[in-house]
Amino acid sequence: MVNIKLKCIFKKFRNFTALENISLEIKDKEYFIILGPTGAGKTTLLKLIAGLLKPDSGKIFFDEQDVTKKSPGERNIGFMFENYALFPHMNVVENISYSGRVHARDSQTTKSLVEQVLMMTLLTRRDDAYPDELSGGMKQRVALCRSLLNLEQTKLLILDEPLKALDAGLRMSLRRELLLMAKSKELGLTVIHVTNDEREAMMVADRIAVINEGKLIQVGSPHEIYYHPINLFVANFMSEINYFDGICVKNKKLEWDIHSKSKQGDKFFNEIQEESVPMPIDIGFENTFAGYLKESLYNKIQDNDKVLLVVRTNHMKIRLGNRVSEKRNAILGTILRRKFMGVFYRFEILAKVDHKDKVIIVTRSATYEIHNAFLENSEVTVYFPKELGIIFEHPGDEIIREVLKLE
Amino acid sequence: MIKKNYKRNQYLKESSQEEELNLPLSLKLDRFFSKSIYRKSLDSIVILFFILVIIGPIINIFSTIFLNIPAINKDVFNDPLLGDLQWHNMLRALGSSFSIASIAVGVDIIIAFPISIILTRYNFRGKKILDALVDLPMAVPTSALGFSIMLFWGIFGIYPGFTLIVLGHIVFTFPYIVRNMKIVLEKSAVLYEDAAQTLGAPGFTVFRTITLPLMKEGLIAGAILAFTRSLGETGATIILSGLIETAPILIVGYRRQLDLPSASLLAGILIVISLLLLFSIKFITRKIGFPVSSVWPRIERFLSKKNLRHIRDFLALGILFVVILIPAFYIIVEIIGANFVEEVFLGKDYKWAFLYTSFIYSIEIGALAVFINLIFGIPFAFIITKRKWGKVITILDTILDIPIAIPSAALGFATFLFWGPSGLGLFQSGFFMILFVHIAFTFPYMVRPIIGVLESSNKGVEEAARTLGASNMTVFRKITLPNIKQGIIAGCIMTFTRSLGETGATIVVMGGIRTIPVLIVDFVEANAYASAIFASVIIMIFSAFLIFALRTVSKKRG
Repeated sequence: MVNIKLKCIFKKFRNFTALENISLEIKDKEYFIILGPTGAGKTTLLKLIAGLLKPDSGKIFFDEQDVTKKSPGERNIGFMFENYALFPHMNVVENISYSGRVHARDSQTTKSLVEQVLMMTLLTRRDDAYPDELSGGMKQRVALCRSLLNLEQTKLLILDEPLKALDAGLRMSLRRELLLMAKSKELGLTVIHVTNDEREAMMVADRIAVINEGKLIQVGSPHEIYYHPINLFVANFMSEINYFDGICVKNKKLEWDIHSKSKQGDKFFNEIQEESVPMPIDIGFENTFAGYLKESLYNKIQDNDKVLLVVRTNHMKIRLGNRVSEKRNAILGTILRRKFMGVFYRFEILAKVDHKDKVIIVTRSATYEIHNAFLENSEVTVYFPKELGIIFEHPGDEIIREVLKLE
Repeated sequence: MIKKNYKRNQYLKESSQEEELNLPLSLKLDRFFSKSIYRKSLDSIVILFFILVIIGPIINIFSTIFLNIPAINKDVFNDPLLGDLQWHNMLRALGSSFSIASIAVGVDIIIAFPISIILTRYNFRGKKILDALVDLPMAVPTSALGFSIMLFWGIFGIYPGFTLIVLGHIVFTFPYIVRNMKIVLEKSAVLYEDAAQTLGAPGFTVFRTITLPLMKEGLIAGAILAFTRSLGETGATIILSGLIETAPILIVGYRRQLDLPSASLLAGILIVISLLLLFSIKFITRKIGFPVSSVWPRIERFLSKKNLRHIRDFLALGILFVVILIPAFYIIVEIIGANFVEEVFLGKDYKWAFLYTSFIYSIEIGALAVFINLIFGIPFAFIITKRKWGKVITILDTILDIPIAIPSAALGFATFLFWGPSGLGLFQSGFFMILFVHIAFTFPYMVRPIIGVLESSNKGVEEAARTLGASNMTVFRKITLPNIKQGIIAGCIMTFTRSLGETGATIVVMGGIRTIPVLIVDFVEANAYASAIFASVIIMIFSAFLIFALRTVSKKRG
């Protein structure tokens, strides 16, 4: 059993605030991802949990027990470092049995344990090799074994971007192997994994915590983070987006029913409809647009408040010709550029939004229909289902430019 | 089609010729000198210089020994009056040299461990100042340091003799060891230490099983460098020695008595020992292992306690100040009471004039050594890093360190034999001979930093310039040189400070000329303490300024 709780953690390095008011709870046997760009404070957070750093204020609990003041040695957790940090001057067995030796555990027990994990990871034949003689995969297995042998009651494994420095092919296969072991039922581990790769996060996480500039921005399941991002940063971090400035028109009498259930009775859309509520907005067209947002936010936004509508490029649909009248949330435009990206096509579509030129990005999977019909300069209608329109309070142009890294 | 291509080629040719004509003169010269014949001749000149100035004297001393075996036999082993007393003297001197160096380096290592950890792992106010202070003894002339140390310990009743020599050698070899340890600690150890901590190792165990084995190489390299420096030191040793004779002092003594065979024998022995040490670094590094497999949890957990760590740190800092920093710069206090105005400026023997001329000599020699080493050092660094001559480069790279390793008095004597009346007969003792010696033993100090920046510099930039059509020489002038400026400046300052502080090599070849460190020794031997104090303080301030400049330069690089 291990429940990890962080309460109001603050950490400063000289004048630089690395972490600000972080409170988190990680449940037993959960695969928990900490996601954020480089320099967001992810590794600092891990080091605090491991005890390699001490927080300036705040408390850390393992199973209701305050461990804030305990040294890393007393916490008995497994920590896998970037590039694995195998001791270069010790061979495989010495590396793996290190924790047994420094804890003065019974040497016979340690020995049999070491043999056990070596068997499990098929490393028995290389047990006297030194780290620089091992392949990337073997290093990873040794590092994992070394961390596993340190676990006592607290079955917590911490992974600090272990795959960061590897090339793409190796990274894929090692990731699969790592997950298989970390998530295996027999070991029953709780895993905290730090990464800046959103695809890696989506692939494995039970829950994801997004942090940026030392602040915890959102915690939730991959589904939540993807479909209900809390702000523009999270939305943009997960995949490419389009955004539209709009005005909330809650009280306007609408020409269409934004509460309508999805026609196909789509379970997926119904789920989103249950989780949040629709809001009509005016983004500068005759027709009123609509997107979804959490109820609490809905109540906060008043009529005529500025809002931001965000639609992922892969959620945008595209039809030839002018079909604005028959589709909802539809915009007319011409294909400015199309780019074949392998799995999908990426279209840049020039449209007039609120009497200004705007480029809308649409990505569609590369089928032959798309390839044959959607040529540059053809007139198209882009639209999106209202359930996939995400609405935020308008953060201001300054922040939009900063988050989207616009010039 | 072919015709068209031909026309096009013709056109390109013409246009490039036209371009050639329109080039500014400097670029034309660059193109001219980029021809491989000039590069090859430059390479040969540089290597010839290297062989003549550095290898020549060393080889020559061995041939001298062989040619003078009868004389050596007579003087050293079978003197009609003294028998083999001479040889016994040499053995005793070598013995004390070795025990002094061993004790000094041993003490240094013990203090250097906590100090280098404090300087790399802790953050506190005044860290930069402490760091600079630890480095400073490397830049100050050892004779000034030695004198300061003598005055300091004199207060406590420790007078020149074995103990005082050891105390002195601890001071000026300390920076070499701390520097090397710090490099390793800053570079790689942190990640492994963190890993060991999460696996449950307490602080002391982490240090013993992880940090120590990882810094092995730096530790041994630093220790050997410090050991050879101690072995060859003359300036401070003369002041601190009293009746004790170390090997370099004996060489100086033989040279003064013009007993050249004995001097060459002893210099030869010293050179051989130092070379053995230098070449065995790699071997020793491989052989020495630290026991990492067994752990004594109870003792180590006890040793890792916070209180003990604090005690250790305070103890180390205390020893650093009491044994190293305060004695080294105590002389600054002493100048207040010293009546130097009367002795230096108003005395009838015109000490200020001596002081002035030797100061000028010191600076002239230092500056010329820097200049000449610059001319040959930059191409030499290029040869080491850029030429693909395989084994030859490895050999040149190893030989380059020889002047650092061998005692400067021995190198000085070898140079004297090579260029002086008994060798090629080109120079007499005096200014030029001093210059030659200084060029020889400072050459690696100039080349090493340049090699360092060359190896770490971005090769892509040069290649980019070449694809844009720049000739080799233009690339060098406009791209490479500005990029390695920091390394060159660092090399210049190192060369200058080492030249400024050298005593042993200078004494052997100086003839009638005095440099500042030698003058300080003379003043001390003549009991003109006030003048010696005055000269020491001036040179200390000057060196402090230089080391400050060096730190500013190397900081910019990072």
